[in-house]
Amino acid sequence: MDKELVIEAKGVSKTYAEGEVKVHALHPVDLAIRRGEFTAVAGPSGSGKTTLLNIISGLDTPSGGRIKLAGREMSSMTQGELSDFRRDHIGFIFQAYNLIPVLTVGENIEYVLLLRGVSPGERSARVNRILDEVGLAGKRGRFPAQLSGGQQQRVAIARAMVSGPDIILADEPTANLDSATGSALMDMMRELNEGKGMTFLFSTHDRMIMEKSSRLVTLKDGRVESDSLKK
Amino acid sequence: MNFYLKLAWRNSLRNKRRTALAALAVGLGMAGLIFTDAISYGMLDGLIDTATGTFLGQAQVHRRGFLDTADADLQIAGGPALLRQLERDPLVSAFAPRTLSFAMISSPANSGSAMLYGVDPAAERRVSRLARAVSGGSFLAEEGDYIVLGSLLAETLEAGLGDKIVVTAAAAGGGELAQAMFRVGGILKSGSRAMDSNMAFIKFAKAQDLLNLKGGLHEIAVVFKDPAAAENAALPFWREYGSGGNEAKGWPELIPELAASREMTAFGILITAIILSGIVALGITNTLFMSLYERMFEFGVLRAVGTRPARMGLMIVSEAAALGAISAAVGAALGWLSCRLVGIKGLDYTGVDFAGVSMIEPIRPMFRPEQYWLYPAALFLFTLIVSLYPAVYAARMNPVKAMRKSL
Repeated sequence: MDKELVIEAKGVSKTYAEGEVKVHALHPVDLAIRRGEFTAVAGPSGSGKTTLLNIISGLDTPSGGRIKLAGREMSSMTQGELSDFRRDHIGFIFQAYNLIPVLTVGENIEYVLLLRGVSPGERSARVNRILDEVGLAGKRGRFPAQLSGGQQQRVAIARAMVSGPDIILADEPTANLDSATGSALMDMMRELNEGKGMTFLFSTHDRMIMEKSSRLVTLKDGRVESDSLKK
Repeated sequence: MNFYLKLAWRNSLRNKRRTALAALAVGLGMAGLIFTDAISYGMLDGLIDTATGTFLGQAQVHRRGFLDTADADLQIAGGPALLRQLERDPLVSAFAPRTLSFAMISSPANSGSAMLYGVDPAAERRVSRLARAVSGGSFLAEEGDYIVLGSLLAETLEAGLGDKIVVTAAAAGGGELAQAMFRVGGILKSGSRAMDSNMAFIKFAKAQDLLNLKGGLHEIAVVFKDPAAAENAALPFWREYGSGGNEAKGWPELIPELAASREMTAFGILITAIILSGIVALGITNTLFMSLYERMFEFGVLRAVGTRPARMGLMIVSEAAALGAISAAVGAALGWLSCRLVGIKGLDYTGVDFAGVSMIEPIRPMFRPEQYWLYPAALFLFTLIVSLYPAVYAARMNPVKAMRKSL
């Protein structure tokens, strides 16, 4: 069933050197994420979940082990190739939305398509379509500062999804939202996951996300403590 | 508009106060350069105009060696023929024949030495401003033996209009002393101390007679249709009129101090430009880095979503281009405004000698097209060059460090 694997991490470790002191942020970790999964990586602060997601996304390099994403070995890629790889295969959702404030909602989403060389006409159509899907039709010309936190996170989700990536990595996506808004967003992502088969990997310590995810991986002190599938 | 240019433009206007201050600082630097250029060249232009327009002419023809000795025997070879040739010369706008000799000038009260010029008043009006500089009497307009004295020379001689003056000079053909009496017909007040204290003018024909020149002449002052011709050493004019024992020289050769001053001015402006460029470079680099540090997180996000390092650098260069364009516009506007304001009355240094020439008009900024295309273009280009440092920094930025709290 290897062809269904989106992420395959084997013996991935990360050690930071702080002066002469070495900090093991991640001990050798194995993790496989299959297409269509809705997985949460949970753990307390300092457990290594952020480091793990950074390495999976190619934003950081592992000290040991190897990562395959969408069937490609990432460790041998240059910075430029990693940028292209993220552009083509990964969608990001950040805790603080991280939209570009000088770009409108439409332009924020369009930017990802622009990077991929999509034609202006198609970019416009896809932006409209994705805004419809996240319930923000009519907000295309607004600037992020003119939206609520929940709406901004919807834009971030739309930006992550618009290019149809193999996986969406979400870092504490509900941390800055009230529980009702956070729950509604999770429901929306779950629908996209079930409806479109989109793969999600969350980093979280929000119990609600853990409950709504279909698989829960817990980390502690840089090691996988548990890995369980839920119904 | 291109997406990245739009992004750069909006980012430039994001912190309007900072952008305005940076553009003002850089623009002021450029305005200073435009003003320095305009006032320097304005001063030189005024001096050159004074030097060539008051009496010298833009070029002169002499017998070789005459300028060193003022020997009355060194008349221009084939002078009358050259005058006829100059009448037909398409480069030449006007010319005036002259005689020139050292002379002792005596009044009943005093005596002094001077350069005695024999001039054709009608021809001089087309070549020089002598006639306009006569403050009392006329410029040899009346029939009879009249002399025009420099105002300071007249003071020395204690001579006024109508007074008798005796001129003694060495004539050609052996150096016999020749003497003649004149009445003061005009007082010259040119504003140039050298002219007003050392020059006297009599009619050309009378001078030829006095100096026993037999129809000869010592100097031809020339004005060109295009003043730039005086500085164009490649023109055949210099060979044509500088042959047969004669020499033809443009004003840069006749007043080398002034030509050297212009070169020094150009060098001074270059040094000013380099110093200002250094200040501009620091200002722009600082502004870009402030903007970059402020948006570190955004740059991290842009890298995370797949922006290539080179594209990140290009974004910074684009922002620098926007800042450079604003600064160049501000600088050109401020430069133009400062030149206009100072140009209303000019800077009054009249009477001050510079490079051997007296300033007789206030210094006014001089417009040169380069000020409004070369300097802004150079500023824009320079902005792009100095932006490469922050651009490389942005391109090499580690996205994880940039985002810190992110993934």
